[in-house]
Amino acid sequence: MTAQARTEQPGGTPGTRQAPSPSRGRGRAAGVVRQILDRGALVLVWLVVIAVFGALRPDTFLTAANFQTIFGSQTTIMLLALALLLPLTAGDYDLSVASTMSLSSMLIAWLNVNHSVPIGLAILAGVAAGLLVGIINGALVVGIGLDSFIITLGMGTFLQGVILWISDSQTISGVSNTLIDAVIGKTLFSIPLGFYYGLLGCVILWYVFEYTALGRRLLFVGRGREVARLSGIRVDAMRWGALAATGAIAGIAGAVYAGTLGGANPTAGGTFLLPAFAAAFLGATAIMPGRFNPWGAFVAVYFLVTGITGLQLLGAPSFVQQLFYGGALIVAVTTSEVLRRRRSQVGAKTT
Amino acid sequence: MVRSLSSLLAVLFMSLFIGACGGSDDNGSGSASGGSDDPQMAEIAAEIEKYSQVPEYQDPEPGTSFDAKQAKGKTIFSIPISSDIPFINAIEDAQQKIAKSLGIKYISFKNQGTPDEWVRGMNQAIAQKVDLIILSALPNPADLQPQIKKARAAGIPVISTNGPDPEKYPPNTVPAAGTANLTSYVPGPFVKAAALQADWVINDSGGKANVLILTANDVLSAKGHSTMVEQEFKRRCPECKTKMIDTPVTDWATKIQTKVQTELSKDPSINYIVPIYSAMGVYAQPAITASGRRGQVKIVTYDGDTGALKHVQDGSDIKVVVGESAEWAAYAFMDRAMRILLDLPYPEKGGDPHIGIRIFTPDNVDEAGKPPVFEKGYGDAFKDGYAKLWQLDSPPTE
Repeated sequence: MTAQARTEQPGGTPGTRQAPSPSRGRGRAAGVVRQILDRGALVLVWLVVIAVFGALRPDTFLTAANFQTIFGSQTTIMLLALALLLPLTAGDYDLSVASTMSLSSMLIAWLNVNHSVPIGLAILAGVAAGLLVGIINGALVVGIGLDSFIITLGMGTFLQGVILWISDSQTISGVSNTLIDAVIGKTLFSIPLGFYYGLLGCVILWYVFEYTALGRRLLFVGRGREVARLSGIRVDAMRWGALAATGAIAGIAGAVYAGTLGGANPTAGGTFLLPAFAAAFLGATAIMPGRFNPWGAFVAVYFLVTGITGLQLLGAPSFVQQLFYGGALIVAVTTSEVLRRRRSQVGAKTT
Repeated sequence: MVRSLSSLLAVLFMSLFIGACGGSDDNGSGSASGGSDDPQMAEIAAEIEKYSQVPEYQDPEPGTSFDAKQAKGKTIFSIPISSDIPFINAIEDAQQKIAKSLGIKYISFKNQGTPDEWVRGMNQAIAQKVDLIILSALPNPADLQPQIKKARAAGIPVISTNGPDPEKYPPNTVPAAGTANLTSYVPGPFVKAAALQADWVINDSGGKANVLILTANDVLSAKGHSTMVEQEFKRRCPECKTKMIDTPVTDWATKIQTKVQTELSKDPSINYIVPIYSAMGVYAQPAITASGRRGQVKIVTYDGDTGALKHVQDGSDIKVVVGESAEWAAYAFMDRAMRILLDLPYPEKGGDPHIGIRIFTPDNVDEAGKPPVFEKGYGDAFKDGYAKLWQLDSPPTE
């Protein structure tokens, strides 16, 4: 796949050559600037937010400890957002990710605390449970051919019931210190290790999407299912695999969550669903606009928490945080779509 | 007024009756021989009467006087369970005022009630090297054990407030992690409130009630609170019938009405609903209305949320709110915090803060204001009491 095909050129034909000329050179420079702004707008806004809060609260916001807190605290959401990239790229929804994560964390805590299962085995069980949920989702959505939105919504609710059943509505506390240390206890460059798991997830998914045939095929499946099928891609296998992988990643996120809380909470899992989706969609406006992508999701997750942390340090009432969160999502997605349409109009004019 | 007068008359009449029959002194043993136990009913009626008045001030344990102005310059970081609950915000506002007047820096971590945010709050507090962390009314310490241990290791005391007291709660109703590794915890007045909720029903029904108890066992103090309500019925009302339903907090808005309606149709003789938190009561009201049983089922709830008090004032089926004074609670929690900040003796486990509670019914709810506000209904004696305890010239919230 050529680099040209990788960048979005709606309306432009990849591989065509144009005769060089001065005006075209200026247009190319302007195009590069536009590209940088397009891809990096969210990063720029993030820096502006840091500058603003830093100016307002230099003693508390602009401290190493504050940034360590910001970077060390979002791994669960980061992993869930990454998990979502797979079905979203393939054109499906998975509304059960948060409940799958919660089930995994509850299972890990229940096995390790209540039944003295060694933490390594408990984590494997949690991830396996997530994988199983993903496979079942795949069976229903792809195997039988049902709507992914409704099926995964139902699955999420069902799993919530299972979680309340296992836990008897009580928080289970006292998970092995090994897991806690691995997530929030031990640090690298003063940032808790958990952050690096999210980073590793971004690297892996970026590699898969950009440099493997598997990632390319997933993208085609999302862009046009029937066209992909006619091109010889095994669409059903791709979609099923995406949902299964999502479940497994949500299972890993469950282990991270159990390590963060030192146990598992039966009702908090649901609160992760919208933030994970928000990060995935907001991330699709950055780095690789128009496409769900891991680095965009990374910027989105940490931009949102930076803004909220700044608001908290200012002592803003809690409703302001929701205004910011929802507002950022609306503004970013709207702006990105408007720019994309303008680009495709410009692209159509210049060819 | 009428109800308390008739209770008084009932007490007088029964005392005369016992005196005339030459009976021995009542000790409230409550022998479970079917039918209402007259001396016990008299005792219950007297309790209800007592707690329907403005509560009397009592020093919080340990009750030794100290100079609160010495706490000037200290920093307190408070993480409320959620910044979207008016009762919790009332406590935070009062604590903020008290801190401000004493020169204590008070930071309230605004959040929407998720453990993820509480974890972030703890991390921020540790990063800012504050002097004390309050888990305010009450982010579950069981969700925050790694963070609590980290704070303690960094030399920052952590207290939780308005939670359960495992020493006084029924066995196996509070997980150990709910109070583990805390420097101290200040219990809420749930033991007495639970008893009063049940006792009011027993008194009102003459010992013949069919009760639906609504609980939310994912809240740390709920299992014990609801168990105590149930036990009070078993102990003092052998002819009463009880059934317990559990609904997690996240499902209150969507599930309580249906569940209650189902129970009312399954058993039309239910005549009392005892939700342990008033917000649950607000969701139960439409169930009564939809079942066509307005005026036939009484809701007897707890916590003193002003919205619930307004329901009482407006003549809904919420007939009783056992109210906890948010302002009084704030004083009690700051008392514990300051003792720790000033290295004075303090109870490590529980310690009764004697927070004022009062039974509000349509007869006296107007004393909480029209419409009800958090600052009214509990008198002002506690403010003067704390001013004296803290060696101040005047109360910090005036």
